[in-house]
Amino acid sequence: MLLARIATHNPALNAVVTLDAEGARRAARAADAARANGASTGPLHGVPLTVKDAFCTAGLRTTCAYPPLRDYLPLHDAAVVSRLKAAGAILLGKTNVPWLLDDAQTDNPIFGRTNNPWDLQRTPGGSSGGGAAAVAAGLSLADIGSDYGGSVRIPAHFCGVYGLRPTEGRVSLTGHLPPLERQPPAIRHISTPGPLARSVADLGLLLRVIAGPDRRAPSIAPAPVGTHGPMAAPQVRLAYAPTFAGLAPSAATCAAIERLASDLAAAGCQVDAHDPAHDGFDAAAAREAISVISQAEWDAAGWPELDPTASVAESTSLRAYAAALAERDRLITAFQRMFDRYAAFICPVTPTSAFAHRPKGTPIPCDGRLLTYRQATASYTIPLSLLGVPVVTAPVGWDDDGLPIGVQIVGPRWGDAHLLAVAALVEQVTGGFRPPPDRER
Amino acid sequence: MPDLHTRGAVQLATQIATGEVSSVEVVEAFLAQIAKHNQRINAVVTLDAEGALVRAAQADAALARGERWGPLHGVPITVKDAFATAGMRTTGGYAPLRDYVPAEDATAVARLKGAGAVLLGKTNLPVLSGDYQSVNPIFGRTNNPWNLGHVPGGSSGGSAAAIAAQFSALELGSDYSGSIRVPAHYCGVYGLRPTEHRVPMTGHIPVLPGAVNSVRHINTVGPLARSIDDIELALALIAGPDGRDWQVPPVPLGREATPEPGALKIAISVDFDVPLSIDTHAGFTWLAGELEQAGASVELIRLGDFGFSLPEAYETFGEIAQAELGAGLSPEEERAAVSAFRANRTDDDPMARGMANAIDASARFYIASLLRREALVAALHQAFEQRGWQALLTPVTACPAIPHCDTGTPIAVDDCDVPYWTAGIAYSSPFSLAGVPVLVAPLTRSHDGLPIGMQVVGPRWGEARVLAVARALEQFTGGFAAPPGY
Repeated sequence: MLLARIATHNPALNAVVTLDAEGARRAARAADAARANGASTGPLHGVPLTVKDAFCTAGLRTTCAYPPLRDYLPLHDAAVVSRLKAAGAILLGKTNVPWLLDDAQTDNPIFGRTNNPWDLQRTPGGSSGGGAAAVAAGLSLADIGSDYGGSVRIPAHFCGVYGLRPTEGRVSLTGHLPPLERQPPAIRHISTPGPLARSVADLGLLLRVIAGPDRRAPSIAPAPVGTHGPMAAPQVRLAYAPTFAGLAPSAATCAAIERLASDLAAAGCQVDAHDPAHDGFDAAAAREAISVISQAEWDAAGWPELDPTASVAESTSLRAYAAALAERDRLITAFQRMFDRYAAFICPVTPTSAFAHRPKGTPIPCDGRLLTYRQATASYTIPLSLLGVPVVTAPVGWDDDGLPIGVQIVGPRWGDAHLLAVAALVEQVTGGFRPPPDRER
Repeated sequence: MPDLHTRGAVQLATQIATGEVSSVEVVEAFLAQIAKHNQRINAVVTLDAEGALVRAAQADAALARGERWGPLHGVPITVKDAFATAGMRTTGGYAPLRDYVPAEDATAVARLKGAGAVLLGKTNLPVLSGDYQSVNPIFGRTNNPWNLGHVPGGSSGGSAAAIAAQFSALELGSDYSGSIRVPAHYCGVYGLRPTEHRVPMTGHIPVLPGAVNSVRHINTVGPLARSIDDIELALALIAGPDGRDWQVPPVPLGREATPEPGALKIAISVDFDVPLSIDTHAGFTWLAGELEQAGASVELIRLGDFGFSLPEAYETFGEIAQAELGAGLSPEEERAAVSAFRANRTDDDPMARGMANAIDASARFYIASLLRREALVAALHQAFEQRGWQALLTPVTACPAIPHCDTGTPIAVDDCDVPYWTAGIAYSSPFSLAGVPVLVAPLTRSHDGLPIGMQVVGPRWGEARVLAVARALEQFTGGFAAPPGY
C-alpha cells in the first residue's frame, strides 16, 4: 500500500530517493509468514519505514547527497539500521537530504529537490527533509533522521509531523555520514539520530528500538529509556516562551503558541510564560560555544577535505575547546534550573512556517521583517542543540496559508520518557497529526 | 566491644540499626584506634573527633525516635583530602589550600553523609594527587601499616592505610592512573575504580576550586573498604547523575549472582612486557591452578593478541592526560611538568612520548587521541564478548609496596631496576585509559609479608559482574586480613 502511495505521490515530492521495493516486499512476506506461525520478529514487526540517506544501509545505495558517493553501497548497516532491522522493521528505502546534510532545505546535485507535501513550492526543511515529507505524505510510517542544528526538528515542524531529538549520547551515530567512513568519527557532541513519525507513541517506540550502546561507540551509555505512564493535565506544569533566544517569531507562530498555552491551561495544566534567560541561560553564549565545538570537531573529522569552500580557520586550540565545553556545562546548569519547577519548556522551532524554496543563505521574510537565513532557520534550535537536552517537535496549528506550525517541547537531559509523556498530553489537547491534503498527480 | 573497629560498613550499619551497638560506641572505637596507631602511620590528617561524636549522638537519638537516615546510618567514614567537605579543611595536599574550608560537600561525600555516614576526618595524599606515594608539604608522609618503611601507595594512600589500620569503616578515594588501585593493593584492602563517568567528580580537587574543568576523561571516584559488600553499598550510594557533572548518565548498577567457581570463565594477563615480581607472578599462577581445579575456565592471555596494544595504550594515555591536565596550564608550565615526568623515564617510553606530543595540543590532536582510545576500548570489549570472559585478572603493579623513596627513583623489582612510573602504573593505566571498572582485591602476600592484590577488570558499566566474580574468587583467596598488630 505504501509502495503504491510512493508511486503516486513521490514524483511530486521527491522525498524517497532510493527505493528497495523488492527487498521490502520480500521482508514483508517473511514478516507475514512469521506472524502466521505465531512468531514475532520484534517490536517493529513488519513495520515499513524509511531512513535518511545519511545512514549506511548494507547493499542499499547511501549517498548523503554527496556526488562522489552517488553509487556507494555500504557493506555494513549503521547502528540504528541494524537495530531497526533486528526489531523486525521493513526498510522501504532512503529519504532525501541536502548535500552532506549541510542545509535547512533539501536539495542536492544527485537527486534534486524535495518539496513540502503541504505546498510543493515550499521546502520541507532539512536536513531530514525527505524523511519528514515522506512521513507527512504517508509514504512511510516513520523515518529515522538526524539532528545537529535542527535537522529533525525543522523538517518535522515544516511538514506537520512529530520528531524527537533524543538526549545526546542515547543513540549511536555509528554508520551515519558525514563524516564519511574513511574519516575519523570525530563528532562527539551535538549530533544525534532521531525518529520522525505521526504520533508521540511512535516516537517512543522507535526511540526504544534505536537507543543503546554499540561496540564501536563506547561513549553511548546503556542508560535505559524507561517508561512513563500517561500524565494527567493537573500534574503537569509547563513553561513556554514564544519569543526565545532573543528573537520574536511571526505573529502566526506567536498566536499558535499562545493558543496552545491557553488550550493546555483549559485542559487543566499549569502553564506559565517563562524565558530561561531569566535563569541565566544565555543563548548567544550557547551559539558561541557550539560554534567553537563544531569547528573543532568538524575540523578533526576532516570537513575541509569535503568542503573546500569552507573557510580555512586556524586549528582550534585545546584550550578553546575545553573552555567551550566548560561553558556548555554552565549553560546546561542554567537552562535546566527551570526543570525544578516545570516538566517541560515550549518554544518555537523556527520564526516562520515552511518558506518558499530559495537558494541557501538568502533572506527569509517574517511578517514585515527580513531575517537572515541563519536567523530564520537556526535561532531556536541551535542553542538547545548545545545542551544535549531531549526535544519533541509537535504540530500544534497552522498559519493563514495553511502551513503547519510546530513547537519544541524540551525536557531535561535523560528525561526522554517523561518528556514523551508530556508530549502525549500536548498531542491529546491539540488533536494530533493531520495529513496534508493529497494532491492529484 | 573490643573489636568494633575491625568491622565493616555494612556490618556496622546493621548492628547500629538493630541497636546491637550505638553509633557513639562505634565512633569511639575508631577514635581509639586512631589515637593508638595514627601517629606512626599518619593516614588521618584532619580529625574532627568532637563533630563526629556529636553527629553519632544525633544518629543514635534519631534511631531511638524511629528515624533512619539511610543505609549508612551512624557509620563512621573517612575521606581522601581531595574531596571537598563542608566546614572541614580540604587541602588536596597542596600548600596554597592549607586553610581552605569548602562551603559545600563534594557530591560523593554528600551522598555518603546523606545515607547517614558520620565523617571522622580526612586522609592523606600526595600534592594534588600526583604521585603513587602519599607525601606533601602540609602533612608529611603516610606510612604503610604493614611496614612503616614502605609506602601505602597513592594518591589515595591515606585512604587505603586508614582502611587497613581500621581507622574507619569506609573510605572514599579517586583514581586517575591507579590512585585507588595501587594503594588498595599495597595495603591489602579492596578498592574500586568504577566505570568512567559512573560517579560524579563534582567537588574533587583537582580540579582546583573555581578553575575550569578540562579533565573530562579517565578520572574516577570510588570506595575503599574491607569487604566487597562495603564496596557494593558505597558504589550504589555515590553513583549516578547529580545535576552538576553532566557527563554522568543514568546507568543502573544492577546486581549479579556470585557464579559457582566451576562456572567461571576468566582471562589472566601477567604479561605486560614489564618486569613482575616473582611473588606476584606466583600468586597468579597459584590462583589459576586453584580455579582450574575447581572446574573454572582460565585463559592466559596477552592483551596485544586481542588488538589492545599496550604501547599504543600508554602513548594515548600520555596524550590525553597531558592534554586534559595541561589545558589549564601555560605551555611553559606544561613543558616543565612533562620534563619532570620524563626525567625519570627511558627515552623510548611511550607514555612520556605521548605526553610530550600533547604539549599545547590542538583540539584536532586531542580528538584524534580520544578516537584512538575508543578503538582500543572497542577492541577490549570485543575480546570480552568473543572469548566470553566474565573478568580479566591482572597484577596491580610490578611488585608489592615499595619502600619510601624520592619520586622518580628506579624501583627494585627482584633483581631488576624498573623506572619509577613504569613500576607504579604500567598495569593500571591501560585500564584507566579504557575507562572500564576495576576492583582491586587481596590476592596473596609476598615472602616478606606485604600484601599483593589483583585487578579484577570488566567491560564498561560491568561493575555488577566485576563484584560477582570477585566474590567467587574471594572463596579462594580469602578476604581482608588486618596487618599484624592492628
